[in-house]
This record gives sequence, C-alpha cells and structure tokens, in this order.
Amino acid sequence: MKSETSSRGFLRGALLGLALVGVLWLLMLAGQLGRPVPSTHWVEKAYEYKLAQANTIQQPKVLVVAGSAAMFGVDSKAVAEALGRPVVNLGVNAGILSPYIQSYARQAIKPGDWVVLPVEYPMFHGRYSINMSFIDYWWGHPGFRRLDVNLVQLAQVFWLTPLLRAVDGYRGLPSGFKVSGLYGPQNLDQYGDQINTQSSQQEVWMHELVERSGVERYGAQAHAWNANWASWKALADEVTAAGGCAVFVPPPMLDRADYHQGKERRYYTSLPEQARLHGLNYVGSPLDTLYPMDRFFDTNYHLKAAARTLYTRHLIELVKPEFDRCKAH
Amino acid sequence: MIFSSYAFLLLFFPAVYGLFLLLRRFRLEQPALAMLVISSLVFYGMWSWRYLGLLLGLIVVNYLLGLQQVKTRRKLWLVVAVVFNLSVLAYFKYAGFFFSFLPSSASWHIILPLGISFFTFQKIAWHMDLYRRRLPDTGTMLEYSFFVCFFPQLIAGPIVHARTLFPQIAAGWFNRPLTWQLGISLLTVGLMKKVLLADPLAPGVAALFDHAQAGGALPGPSVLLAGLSYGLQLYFDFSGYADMAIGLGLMFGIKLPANFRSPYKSASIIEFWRRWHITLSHFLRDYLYITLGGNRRGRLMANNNLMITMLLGGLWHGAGWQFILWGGLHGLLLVINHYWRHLSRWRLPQVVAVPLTLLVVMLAWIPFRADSLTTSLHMFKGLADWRWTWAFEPLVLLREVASMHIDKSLPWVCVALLAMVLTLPGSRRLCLTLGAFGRGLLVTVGLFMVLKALAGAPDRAFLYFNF
Repeated sequence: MKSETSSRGFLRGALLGLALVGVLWLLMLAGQLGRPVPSTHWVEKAYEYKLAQANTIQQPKVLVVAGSAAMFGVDSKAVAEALGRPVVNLGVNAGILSPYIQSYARQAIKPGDWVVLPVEYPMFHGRYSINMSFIDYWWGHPGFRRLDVNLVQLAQVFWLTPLLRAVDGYRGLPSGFKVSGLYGPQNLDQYGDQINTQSSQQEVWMHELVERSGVERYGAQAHAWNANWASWKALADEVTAAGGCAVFVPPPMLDRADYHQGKERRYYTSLPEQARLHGLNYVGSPLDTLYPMDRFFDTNYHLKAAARTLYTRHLIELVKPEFDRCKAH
Repeated sequence: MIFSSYAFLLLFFPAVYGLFLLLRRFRLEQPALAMLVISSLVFYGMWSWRYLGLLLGLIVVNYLLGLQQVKTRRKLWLVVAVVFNLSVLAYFKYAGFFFSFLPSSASWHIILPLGISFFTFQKIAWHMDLYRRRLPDTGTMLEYSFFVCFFPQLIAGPIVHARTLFPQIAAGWFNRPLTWQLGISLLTVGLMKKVLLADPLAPGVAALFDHAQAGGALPGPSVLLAGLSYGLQLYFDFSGYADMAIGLGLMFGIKLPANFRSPYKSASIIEFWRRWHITLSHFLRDYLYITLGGNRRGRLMANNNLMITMLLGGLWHGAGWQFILWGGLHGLLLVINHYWRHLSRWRLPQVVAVPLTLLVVMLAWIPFRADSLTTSLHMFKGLADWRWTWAFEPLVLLREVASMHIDKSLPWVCVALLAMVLTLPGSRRLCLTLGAFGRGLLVTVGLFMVLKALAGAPDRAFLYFNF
C-alpha cells in the first residue's frame, strides 16, 4: 500500500517535471523564431545579393544552384561566354541543406532559365539529416511544408538546438552588425562568384583547414531510406515545365585515396546512373572532379581561382551539349 | 559503451532492465543472473571484443584457483592467485613504466584493458577472503562471474566484496522489494554530476595543464585554480560514476557499497581518506596495510606501513612518478596528521580545518593530473608568483555556461561549484530527503537536461577509466 502511494507520488512528480521542462524548452525556442545569429547571417546577406542580381536580368539566363562548392568553383563569366546567356551563381552554403537551397533557387528561376546543379553529394542522401548551420538558419528563417522540411528534421531541430543558440538568438545581431570576413556579399563579384581566392591570398590557417578536412564517407552514408532524389527531381521538373532545362553535374571535391576503393568508389561510380534512374539529367563522373590538395583554398570543397578555371572548363564541356539539345527542343 | 551515452541510456539499459523485470515477475532468479552476466559481457565487449576474451580467461583461471583454495586451504594457492593477478595487472599497466630503460619499450603499444585495476583488486580480495575463511566457498561459476563482471561496477568500481554480494543474489533475491525509485534517482544525480558539471570543466582544466606541459608559466592563482578545477572535475566525474553504479545496482536489487561521502567537507586528511574512494581505501587498509603489519608493531612501523600503502595506492592509479608523488604527498600528510592526533589534543577549528584540508588536497591533485613529474614540479614553482590574470566577463560566462564549455570563466564557475560541494548534502541523502514526488520531478528534469546536453556534446569517457 505504502509502495503504491510512493509510486503514484513518483509518477506525479515525473509527469509534472516532464511537463515543466518541456514547456520551458518550447517557450525558450518560441522566442528564437525569426531571430538570426551572427554566425549564419552572411548566408542571408549573400542570397539577398545574389537574388537581387538575378532579378535585374530580364532575359532567359543560366542559374548555378548548389552550395559553396559552386560559389568557389564556378567561373560564371566563362560560363556566360560559352553558353551565350547571362549567369548568376546562386551557390552559397551547403550547410543550410536542400530545403533552403531549393527555396532560394525557386525565387530566382524564371521561365526559360537553364539551371546547372553541381550539388554537393550529401544533399542527395540527407532526407532526414540536419546540422548546426541548418538549425541556426532555420530559427532565423523558419518554415515547414513550404520549405520541404519533414517532421523528422523538424523534431531534430527542436531537440538539438543548443542552449547557446538560444542565448545568441535572444541577444540578436549586435547593433550595426555588418557581415565581414571571407564569406558574404563583400567577397562576391557581379555574377555571385567568390573573389579573392588566388593562391597568394591563401593564409596558413586556410591551408591547414584543407589539410585537416575529413575523409568523407558519403558512400557509407547513402541509403535508399535517406535518399533525397525526389526533391531535386521536383525542382528540375518545375524548370522543365517553365520551358527551361536543369542539368546536374558533379561538384569539385578534394581527392582522397579512400574514394577509389570499396563502397566509396562504388558510390561515386554509380551516382550518375542512380541520379538518372531517379529522373535527373546527370552528366559527368564524380571521379573526374576529384582534385589534389593544392587546388583547394580553405575547405575540401572550395577551389582556388586557378583551379576554378579548370573545373569550369570541364563543367562547360559537360553542360553545353545538354543545353544545346534543350535549345533544339 | 559508457553510462552517459544515448546507446546506454536509450537502448542497452532499457532492454536489459525490461528483460530483468520480466524474469523477476516470474521469479526466475538464476536465469536473471545469467542474463545479467551475458549483458555485462556484451557491455564490456562493446569496448573491445579482444579484451572480453581476457576478462573471460581471468574469470575461469581465478575460479579454478579459488576451487583449489577451498579444497586444500593452503597458502600456496593464495600466493599463486595473488601473483597471477598482479602479474597480469603489472604487464598491462606497468610494463612500459618499469622497462622504460629498454630502447624497444617505446614501440610497445600495450592497451590497458578497461577496468582491469578494479576487477583485479576484487579478485584478489575474493582469494584473500577464501583463504581467511571470510567466505565459506567459491559460489557457483555463475555467481562468481556475476561478482566479477556485473556491469554497473565492472569498469570503475565501487570495489565489491563477494562476501557482501553473494548473500544478495542467493535464493530469495526477488522476494526483497526493489528500490527502483531511489536507484533511478541516484542514476540521474550521477548523470547530472558527470554530464552537467564534470564534463564542461574539461576544456578549462585541459587548457591550464596543457599550457604548463608545453613549458608555459602559470602564476600562483592559476596553479591553484588548476588543482581546484581538476579536483572538482574528478570529484563530479568519479562520484557521479559511483552514484550511477549504485543507482543501477539498486534497480536490480543489488546494494553496492558507497564510494564517496562528501569528501571535500573533510576537516583533516585522515577524514578525507574515510570519505574519498572509500572502497579502495578499505581494500588498501584490509589487504595491504594490515597484511604489512598495520599498527601492530608500534607507531613507527605503522607510519612506515601507511607510507608504503599510500605510495602503492598512488602507483595503482597509474604508472608514472607523478602518481608516486601524489601517493607520497598523501602518505606524508597522513603520517603528520596521525602524529598530531597522538601528540596533541588540540584540533584546528572547523572553519580553518576544512579550507586547509581542501587547499592541500586540491594542490595534491596537480601531480595526479599532470602528464609528468617535471610538469608537476614546474607548476608548483608558479606558486611563488601571485599575479591575478583572470577577468570577470559576464557575457563570456553566460556563453560558456550555455555551451557547457568552461574555459575563460573557470574561476567563477569553480567558486560556484565549490560552494555547492560544501553546502549540499550527498547524493543518497539528497534523494532520500526529496520524497517520492520530489524524486519523480528530479528524474525527469534531470534526465531531460542530461539527454539534451548529450545531444550536442562529444563523448567523454569517465576519468577513472584511465586508472
């Protein structure tokens, strides 16, 4: 009898405790909605700049849609000359994941536009994944169905938001805050390409970041259950329906010995075929755009200016026949 | 697998406990015991399947030696068992240290099997108890395996004695009420100590000791802070582990011995050793100090034995001169303390004795944490320079607390934690005084905070896994 009373008391306390912390946490999170933090504010500003550039172009254009690998890796001027259309590079940051990248792309795409998509690999297999950049960005720019964020991702955002994000969110952007440093509109040219990435501008810490960058395990992480082909297919279909064309190409990435054996090799070898099976027009081979370390600026995805020229030449070779075919239709 | 991980808290433990409750419902004591042994082996095997073989081999060899002991009652088998166990421990823990003069020793990569220091002592105690007839027999192989590898205490204690454990798993184990509420409350308090208090101190502690290790000068206040912050980290980490082990034990109806009783509230070094790592102190007292002669041959020999015990206790923590220095310092302080008690009836007032003991204990943690004797001595030299180099920045403090990464705010956080340690009751008393409703509240609020903190934090193993 005594034990039963004690158990009931314990249960009552446990339920009250759960309700208490749950409500407190949700209240704390509610205060984060619409509050950006300095760490990801550059992403918002970069998109603001790039979308403004895109909106000034009235004729059919070429849009480059991906993460920062495209921002550092594509020479939009050369692409424009080769394809005979104005180009805007919408690549900013793969960390904010496909929901935002696709959403910003939709804001820029106009009927008849051609879209080049050198999408970073994890975005093809991260249907239920999130990361800290995404969490930070989500609270500043919340959305659910409109953004193609699923319930699993949303639940993770709610659970994984660090207390520090809440503190920073409540503090907000410091008065007079201006985006500075390597990333942001201050380092973008008129096409949206990253500038100041010559070898001579690479500082020691940047080189160390490249050296220390991890060996990616995209092959091991790619499964049927977390595939994200459908969302990219939906975007490509919208482009096609509006009279344009969408071509997927492999992004530039730092080469590692591990990518040439076992599961990882199989992943890169079969990715174009997989993409095509899921309805994407994917051209080129990922193994052809793996480059040595001396071509990278500050991460395993960010090319230096000289290497950008090489990658862009390859990219043009891949996409030009596709867009010529598109024009013929 | 460690207790403070999602894998343990959300998968392993619920699965094992669910199975245990099911078997308990049908009063299947022996199958439950077997299930706990298998679960414990899986728990150990998750760290290293190779060393699981070693653990199993040691269980079998020790059990056979124990059977011989019971059969013959000869000292020979005790000597064989003790030498065998100490040799295994010595190989894994001290081979590199004692043979460091050999050029080839640099290429020896001997990995210390997790928990070997603890389960070796348990086995030695078991053999001694059999020899001294404190234990009537070996128990069954299953009971002995359970005694060695019951997962709550397998890795870092408390050091359990078979004479107290065997009666708890004898027939009728499932007739006793299960104190699961107290168990889960202690588990929660232990997790909170480890995840919310000990782990956040790690970056700041490491920064100070790494700076000294690299040859950098630390002024006196920073040296003191290094000792204090590490002392607090170690206490919350290790006593947190002990709380978890005891809590988990209670949930299975097993009462494990207390390992800590608010040690930083001690008013003397003697009292400190009655409150800190109690089961190790008891082991060293019962099986080393008394075996050496204890205090049976006069004060001088007693102090000599005490000194040897503390030096070996230091060496048990790790193969390095810094551990010997730590053990020696405590041995010396204990000898002085004992002489003082013998020579004078006058005692320092509590208000002076507690801070003085605390100061000495915290400073003695420096060699315990430092990577070498050289670093320890280099740090102690800094005590001559009393420059204050820390600044109070409320915003930095707020951000470091929120991110649970204490570095620049170390002094202020340590002062707050010290105040907590000196004023709050011990975990067990706290859980008992809360009442059922309070315990329920504590468990959900505490577990929420712990799981939330673990979601974004790197896995940090318990400090005593190194020893």
